[in-house]
Amino acid sequence: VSEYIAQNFIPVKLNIKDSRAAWHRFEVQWSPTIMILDSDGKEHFRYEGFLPPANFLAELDFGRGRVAFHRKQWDEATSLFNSAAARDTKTEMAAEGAYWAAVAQYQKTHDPSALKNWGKRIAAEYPNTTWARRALVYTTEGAPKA
Amino acid sequence: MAVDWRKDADAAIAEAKTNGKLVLLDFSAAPA
Repeated sequence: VSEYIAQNFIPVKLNIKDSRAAWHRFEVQWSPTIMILDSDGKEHFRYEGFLPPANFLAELDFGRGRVAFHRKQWDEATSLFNSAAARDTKTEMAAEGAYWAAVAQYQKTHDPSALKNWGKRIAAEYPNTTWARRALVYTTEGAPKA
Repeated sequence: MAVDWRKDADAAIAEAKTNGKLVLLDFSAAPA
């Protein structure tokens, strides 16, 4: 975990006792809150709560994926979303990562088959997630037009 | 490898500008 953080981030720990102004500035409601900012200080991702290392890394992959997505770096985003999904295939993150990987590929290609294929896959692999519910539109009504 | 946690968000953002990295903020109630 520490190597991953060192490779990808400038890490900042903001303890509530010493950093009340930062907690207020970023509207933090609960501890721990993990947040990813770009070099302009813009927030791209946050989550709350303690997680085991594999799930923590999945969240960081996903957050980096959101940054790449916002920058329209579709292949980088796809890779990071897929990595997040693969870190623990039994969680909602697996379904969510697969969803956003498909969306990133759709944004790159405007080929609805990415969404259709994903829709079938997630409905089969993650049937009890909200992501499977989101997949319904692609499996039964067709993907949106580009 | 120990994480080199900074304590100043604005300094970290400035540092991120120079090396192209992202900033990871960890808001914790536990002692630093």
